[in-house]
Amino acid sequence: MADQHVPEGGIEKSPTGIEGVDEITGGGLPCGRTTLLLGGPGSGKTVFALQTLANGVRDFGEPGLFVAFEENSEEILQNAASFGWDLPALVASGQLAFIDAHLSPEIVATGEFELTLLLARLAEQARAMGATRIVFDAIDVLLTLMDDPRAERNELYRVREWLRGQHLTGMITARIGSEESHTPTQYGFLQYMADCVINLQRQATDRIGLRQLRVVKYRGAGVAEADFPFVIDRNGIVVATLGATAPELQYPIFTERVSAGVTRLDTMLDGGYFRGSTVQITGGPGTGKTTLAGAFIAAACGRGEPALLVSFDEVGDEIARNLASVNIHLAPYQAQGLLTIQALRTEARSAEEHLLHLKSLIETRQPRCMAIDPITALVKAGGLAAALTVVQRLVRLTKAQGITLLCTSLTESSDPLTEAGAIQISTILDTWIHLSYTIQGGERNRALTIIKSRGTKHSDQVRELILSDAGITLTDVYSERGEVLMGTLREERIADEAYDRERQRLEFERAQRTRMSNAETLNAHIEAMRQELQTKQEEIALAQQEHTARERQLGRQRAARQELRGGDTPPAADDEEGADHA
Amino acid sequence: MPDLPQPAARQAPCPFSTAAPLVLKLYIADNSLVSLLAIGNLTELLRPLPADCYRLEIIDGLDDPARAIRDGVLVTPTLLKISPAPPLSLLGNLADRQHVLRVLGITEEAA
Repeated sequence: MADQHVPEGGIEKSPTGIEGVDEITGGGLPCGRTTLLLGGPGSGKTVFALQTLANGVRDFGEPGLFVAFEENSEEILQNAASFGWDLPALVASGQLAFIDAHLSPEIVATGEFELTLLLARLAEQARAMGATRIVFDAIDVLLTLMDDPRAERNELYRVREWLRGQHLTGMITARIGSEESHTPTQYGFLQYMADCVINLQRQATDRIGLRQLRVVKYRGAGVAEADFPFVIDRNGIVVATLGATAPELQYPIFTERVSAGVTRLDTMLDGGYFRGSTVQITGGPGTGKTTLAGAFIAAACGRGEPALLVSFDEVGDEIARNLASVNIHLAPYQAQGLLTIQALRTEARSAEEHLLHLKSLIETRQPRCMAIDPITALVKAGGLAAALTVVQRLVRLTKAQGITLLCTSLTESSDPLTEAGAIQISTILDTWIHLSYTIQGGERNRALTIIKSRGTKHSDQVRELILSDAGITLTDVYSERGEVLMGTLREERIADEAYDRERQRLEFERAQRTRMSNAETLNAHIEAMRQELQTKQEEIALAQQEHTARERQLGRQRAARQELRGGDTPPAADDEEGADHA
Repeated sequence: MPDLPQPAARQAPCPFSTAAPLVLKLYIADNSLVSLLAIGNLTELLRPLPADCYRLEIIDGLDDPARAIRDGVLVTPTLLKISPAPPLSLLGNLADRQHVLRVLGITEEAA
């Protein structure tokens, strides 16, 4: 409990230990309260919950309970075995326990039931273990058996009140991703009931799978409101927070532009890259990524700024020689000591080690501009999740020091949106330029598109990129040509989708406000019904008492009769005898 | 008590053999409304049956949690049919009379 954060005037929080989540929530989940994890099948709800429990035991000294309503604990342990959490060891230590609460298929549901008994049992177990965290995984599977939304809500309320009473930090997962998949009242109620709601989404837009996490609600605390991309790798969930949420990270803001090294490109970008921003250039092999990186670095050195060019899997001299063929001459700057070219081998280090190495290079060389060619080498070095966090930390480092960073990403197909690696990294970066080939009249041409540029008015037009011994030039292309039309259409589609998303968000928020007010009305109803229920209970108890008293009296009369007759027949036969007499 | 209904008036034949009588356990928790409803509904269902035709035990799971766990009882009310085979468990307040009768193997004529 020592690690709980109590922000000023805020509520106590339980850290999840999941990279990014504690940053977004300002310290973790609300302590002793209910957190709802919503998401469709395979969205990572159970992984989130298990990881929070495992981290609680390992890093925060908080034992945990996992109540499984859908799968049995063996299945859960099996599924989690691929993560490096070693759950069996935590179970063996007595600090993590699984409770099987899934029902056998032979069970017949016949109306309303209550969780009283289960909660009593859990309270006992939590007390015995000293548990402070508990997960109710897929409780909706059990509750929907009642087929009675009102009764379901009652039991969810019971769980919520129980968590408060027991001072347990609770996570309830529910297989509800969107309002479409459930009745609006149910969805609204769940959100209303919980103190914190985290939505996990797995989208398949543009033929790529993209996972996103959003804190929809956090009672009594402010949270970073945005969709954060996340990945699930062998250590579990890693959320990329874009460095936007940490208050201690104050980046210097520059309005100054630095040249991209190509005059027409500077024009397209309304003056060049922002100083201190990060740029990604994607493209297939041979589309000119390295050339644009070289132009950027050469321009920096031309202004007299120290620069750093990091190249993966290519020898430093070769880069300089290749760039010389398009009239970019780096050798003199190297000789002056302005430019450092560092050639690295991907396999030689892990992504993490690469980051440490780059950090020390930045410290010793103090560059103002830096290029990494290609950054996707890090994905090869340690997987997507590792690369994502490494790039994120690198971006924080360079932003904090006002270094303008350019990364190239090698894409294998011509459409950049199909590349999961490229798009995940692109959410972190400020400017995204894509290079591709267009084949026209038997000629292979290079095309350049600015896909995004944060805070910059930029040209949406596709340009032809011409590399010659005179240098790099960009020329206009005609929209009549098929390839370019395609590119433009793609651009339009991106814009349309952004517009649609915004419209959907506004619609959702409006509908959500209505639902909230409906839920409040419902709550008032519930209170009224509760009182009615209490009256009924008292009536029933009274009737029961009267009934019992009557039975007892009847029994005494029979016994008296029997004694009068001196009978010694067993009590079971007594009824028959009584019936005969009647 | 002359105004009490006479058991013989609604007596029905026992649909269970003496070799495999109806054995029931009803788990409840406390005297909650739902628990009392289940008790009431079940007593009502069984009333027409001769008393030696079934055995019913009502257990408050909160008094004996270990026993509830052994019996695999998760929520209350839970009605366990121990005999005749196959064993069954019914969750809920047993409000659906027809359904419960059918599941327990009691014919509507008997009830």
